[in-house]
Amino acid sequence: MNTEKRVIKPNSNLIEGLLIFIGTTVYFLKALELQQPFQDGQPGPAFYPLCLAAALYICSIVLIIKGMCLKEIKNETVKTRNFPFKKTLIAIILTSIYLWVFLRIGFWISTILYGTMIAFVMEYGKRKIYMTIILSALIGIIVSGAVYVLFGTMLGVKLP
Amino acid sequence: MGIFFGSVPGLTATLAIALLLPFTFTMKTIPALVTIMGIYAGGIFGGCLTAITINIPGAPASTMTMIEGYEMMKKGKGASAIGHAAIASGIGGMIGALILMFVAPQMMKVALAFKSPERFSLIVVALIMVATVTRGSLLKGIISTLIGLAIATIGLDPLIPTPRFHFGIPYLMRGVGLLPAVTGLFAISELLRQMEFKQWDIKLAQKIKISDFIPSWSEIKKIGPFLYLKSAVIGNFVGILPGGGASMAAFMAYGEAKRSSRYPEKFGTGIPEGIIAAESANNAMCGGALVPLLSLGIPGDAVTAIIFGVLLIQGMIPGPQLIVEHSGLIGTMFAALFTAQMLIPLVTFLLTPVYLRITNLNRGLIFSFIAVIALVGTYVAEFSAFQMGLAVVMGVLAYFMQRAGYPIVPVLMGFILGPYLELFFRRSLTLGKGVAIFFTSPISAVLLLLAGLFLYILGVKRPHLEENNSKS
Repeated sequence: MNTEKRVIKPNSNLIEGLLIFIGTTVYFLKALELQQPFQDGQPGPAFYPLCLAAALYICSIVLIIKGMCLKEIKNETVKTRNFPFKKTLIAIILTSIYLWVFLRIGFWISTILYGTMIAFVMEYGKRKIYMTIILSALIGIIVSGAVYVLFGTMLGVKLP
Repeated sequence: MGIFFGSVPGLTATLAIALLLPFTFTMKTIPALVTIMGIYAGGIFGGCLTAITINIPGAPASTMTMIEGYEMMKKGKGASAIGHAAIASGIGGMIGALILMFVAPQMMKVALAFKSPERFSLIVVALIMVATVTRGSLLKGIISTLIGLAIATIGLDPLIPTPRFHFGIPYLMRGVGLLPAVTGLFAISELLRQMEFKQWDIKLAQKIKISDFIPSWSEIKKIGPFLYLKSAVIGNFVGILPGGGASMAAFMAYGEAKRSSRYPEKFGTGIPEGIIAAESANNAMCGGALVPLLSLGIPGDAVTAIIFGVLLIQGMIPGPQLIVEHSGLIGTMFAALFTAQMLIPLVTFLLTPVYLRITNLNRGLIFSFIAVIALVGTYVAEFSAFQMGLAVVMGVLAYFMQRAGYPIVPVLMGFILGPYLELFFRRSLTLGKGVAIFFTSPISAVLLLLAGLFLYILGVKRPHLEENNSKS
């Protein structure tokens, strides 16, 4: 169940502005490694990315200034959800592992395991643990079978 | 098949036609053309089903529909939202097909007047509208657009074959593909977002009848036929312009509907007008996109590029002589497009109760399926595990951006339109020896003036107060 509660939300403009500034600097430096922005009076491959970097720099500086100016109200309370971020992190890790093993161990084993694990994480805590494991395993098999039928059988695509 | 592909996140009309391409070798010409037209029309519409029901656009063109449709779904009006989308798609698509048949030569002349500076200015208008019409902070909308534009610069330079921003990774020299971008931004990020919830965060009417899909007469009367017609004309016109595409058509029509509405502040809260504008336009675009393809031999987007290949396989060379040499076949193609658009509401009313019940299914099953089909779909498009990885990277980026209140739709639009923006920008500067060319061309100057007006009216005059609502 989604719960609504009032929590303290720090002013994030400053952090976001700094992150965008750093990201833009990496982008800007890579753009500088390209050929000259202008070659024979014509804009080269670096020209347009440098324009984008300039625009991103301006935006990040505006965000940073907003963040610094609004420092005094950083403790404003806002309505938000109680996010179980842990599950999201687990999903990112599981998906990364799936990508790594997909070609190595093949479609069937990797997909059944991945489908099972994703379903388990989503269903965790709703019923008894052994029921969740059985249901998740079934989901993993059903999902793998359905995707194989779609791609492998109906469309004739060769899966690893 | 088109609606099915369009409605499954990770699968697009582009992928459906791409996968169908080898099969057309063995098909006769008329069945091949009819199939392609059916998938094209169905695929563009089908994307709205998941956009409305589970907040993931099945196709990029459905992102504006998602803004209003998912809000209606949350209020328990999902059936009505789909009904409006189906009727608008059918009407818009039929208008687009009629325009293709009867007005194409005249519209083609207008499109021919759009050279690089005008096309650049048109894209600027579209991007500014995207940054301003999505809900949330204007600054964050602009940053999202710029991030999308920056991602689009990864890969080969559009004019000089120079790889850029590949960070030493050979696979990145080809750039980020559309499929990993779309599945990452919408399917993977939605999977990660749904991990935060224990139940669906939407309400759904338990008993859905076909009559629930049909909007009431008073509602249709209140909206009026002009919105359908206007959006269809916008969509068709955008489709004619190379690089336009269904996404831009939907964005332009949605933005215009919001601009001209008596209650623009209600856009983004779940109103049918937004759905009607977007869906009329994106299906009307189908007819428009075929104009430059058939008349000039210039495909305007990914789907028409593949249709170009299908025509070649069938021994027809797209260009000025095509209609003269193959008038019968092209007439059949037009009729197939018109019929497919006409059938959309009927097919939707009969089959969509099944789609709407999707949220009654086990969430683990739905999102396991979405995760696997999105990742495997990305893999089979190019048989590349690297593309799957890109989808995950895009998904994680989109997830954290959404959490911080940055809209995702502008990222996608920036990504899709970025290469065209750069191409037309640099070409214009080369041809015009400076930025003056954007203002000496009357069309370009008017478009840039419009862009400034949109920025002022939608972004500055009506500042977005709901900065915390990060959902795009």
